Amino acid sequence: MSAVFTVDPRSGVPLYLQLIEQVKRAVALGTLAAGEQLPTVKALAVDLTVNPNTVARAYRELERDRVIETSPGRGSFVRSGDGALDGRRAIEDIGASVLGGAVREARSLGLEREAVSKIFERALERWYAGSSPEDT
Amino acid sequence: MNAITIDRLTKHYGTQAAVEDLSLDVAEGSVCGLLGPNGAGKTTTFKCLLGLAHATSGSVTVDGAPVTPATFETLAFVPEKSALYEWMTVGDHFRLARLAYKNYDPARAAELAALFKLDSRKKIGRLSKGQQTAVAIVLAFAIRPRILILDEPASGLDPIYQRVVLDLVIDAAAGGATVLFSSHQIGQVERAADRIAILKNGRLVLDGDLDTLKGDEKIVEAVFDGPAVAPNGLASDARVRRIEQNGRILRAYVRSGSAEFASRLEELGPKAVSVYDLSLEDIFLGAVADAAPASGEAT
Amino acid sequence: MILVEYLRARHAFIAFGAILALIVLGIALSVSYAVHFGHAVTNGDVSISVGNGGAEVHRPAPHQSPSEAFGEADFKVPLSILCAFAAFAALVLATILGTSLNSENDRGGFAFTKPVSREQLALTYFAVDAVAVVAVFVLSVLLGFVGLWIVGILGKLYVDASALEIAVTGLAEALMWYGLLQVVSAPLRPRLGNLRGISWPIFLGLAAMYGFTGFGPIFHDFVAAVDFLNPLVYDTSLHIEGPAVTTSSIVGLSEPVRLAITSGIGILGCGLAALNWRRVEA
Repeated sequence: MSAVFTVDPRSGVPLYLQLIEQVKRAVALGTLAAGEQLPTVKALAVDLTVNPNTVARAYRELERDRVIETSPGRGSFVRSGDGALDGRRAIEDIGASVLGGAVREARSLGLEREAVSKIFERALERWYAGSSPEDT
Repeated sequence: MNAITIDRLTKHYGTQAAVEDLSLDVAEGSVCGLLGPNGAGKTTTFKCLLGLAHATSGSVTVDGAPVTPATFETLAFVPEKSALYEWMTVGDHFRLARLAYKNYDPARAAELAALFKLDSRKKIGRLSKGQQTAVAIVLAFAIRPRILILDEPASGLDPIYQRVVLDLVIDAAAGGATVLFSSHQIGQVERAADRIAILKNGRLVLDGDLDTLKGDEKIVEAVFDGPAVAPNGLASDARVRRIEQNGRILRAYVRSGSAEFASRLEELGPKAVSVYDLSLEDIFLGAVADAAPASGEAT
Repeated sequence: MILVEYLRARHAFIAFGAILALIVLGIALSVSYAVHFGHAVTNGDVSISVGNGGAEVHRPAPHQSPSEAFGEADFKVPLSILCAFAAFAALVLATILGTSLNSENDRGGFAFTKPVSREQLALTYFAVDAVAVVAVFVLSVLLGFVGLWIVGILGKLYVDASALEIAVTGLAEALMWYGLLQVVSAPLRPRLGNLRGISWPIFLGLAAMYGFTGFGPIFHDFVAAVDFLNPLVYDTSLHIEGPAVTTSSIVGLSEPVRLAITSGIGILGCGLAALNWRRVEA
């Protein structure tokens, strides 16, 4: 397998959600190629040392979300072709979720809107140096 | 189809109620972790399930019928305290299992014995507590059971072997076995179980799908500029386990509906509202600290 | 699970058998020494006490050395003596094994979570124990042969009419004691189950008080009633007067009746023990 999954059972986030997130991320980034086979439920459960039903639930939801498709007897594969997960949009979705969470955290720390905006700009400067469309 | 059905089980020892009105279903192929403080009634529940103790009232069935000797061809039990014969050797116990069970797999037993580094010539009395547990575990898994009942299977084992036991449980579950186990190792339960049941003082205080519980049980916290204030009706809401008001901070431990509570708190105009996830340990400690059983009363 | 009781019984059999062998060989070797090197015995009575019930050999011939005594033409060793000794050994092993059901009660149900019912398990244990008891009986008789051979009087052995009675009533007595131990100990926790040691002084004491009238008729009747359950009162005692071998017992009943009562109580005890065992909570 080219993709390595890690889950944190102690986290308050349900394991199956963590797994779904990881698979989506891997597909969006391309570390899981279109059409690539996923490990079987049993293999992944044993490998991650987590309950197999949890893995099965994640796979079911991924299938429902049209990220993967399962054929009995052959296994589970990343969807390819029409209807497959749009890489770019998925990345943006994940990005929105991450950034949205950060803003919410900042707000719960009691930061004012302007302060958050300033901090955000500084972070952009730091990590996207040279690619900013305007000089600061 | 439920592999194990516990229906309103009550067990009194004299005037002491060890288990009171316990109802729990374990579906086939599910791994159910039984948690609770010492004396909560976990071992008593197992005993009643296996016919080692007679229920005062209520019933327990396996595959829809009461336990009979034939049930034990495919049901393996690992007790908390070693029940092996101190004067017999490890090898004697393997021979015993081979004679007693139809499904005993000697190759599997040998494989597992090597995994735990067991010497078949040693007398049980000369083994450490952890090694005795290991023998019991090997005997249980060597018959490739369809149902596994484990009472604190990690007790006495060092972390490496605890992990081995965890792997064995998960492997068995992946093969379709049903597992009901009790443990104080919450981390292990978090990995292996898909279902949780928490006992306290002989009663069931919380049970459900682990992933669902983690998704539902949250802490909703609001930080105010002035003294913290709770919305009307918050304390009496059945979904609220308990509320902590500490100066400017209000914390509500909720069973479900965290998003709704978050918005209700927002309406009071606090400085910030956050929703925190709870690990199983948090959920367990919260459930056990509450005085109320799962009937929904909030403190 | 039969393996457990097989190993337990085998262990007891070997340990006890070894002790018996040492005792028999020890006595035989010292008697043999006395026979060949001993001097005149001033007291003419040569007494041999064997096992329970007692066997006395009266030799009214004063100033005779053991070798002379043993060399006399009419000196014979009845098989009954060996049977009495073997019956005693069987009784001891039966009491050692008599708490075999009880010993499973503290094992968190190891035995009770196997694909075998408790009744079946109990019967299996009884069968294994019975084989062990009979085996120790046979072993004791053989040891007796060896002992006699060492002393040099194996040729004096003859099969007397009472030998069979002694053997059969002895084994039935062992069965009775075993059954009583099982029925009392099966429902108990193992710590409380160590009745096998206490049963000896209890039964011996009660047997000794049988027929004692010194404390009045009520006490006498009470003891007689309780002694109904005392294996020792049904015991067959041996009396040897020269070539004559006779038997008697404390309770004045005939052999068939004693046999029926002892084996009946033994079997009933085992049966009740097996049934009661089902109620035990592990």
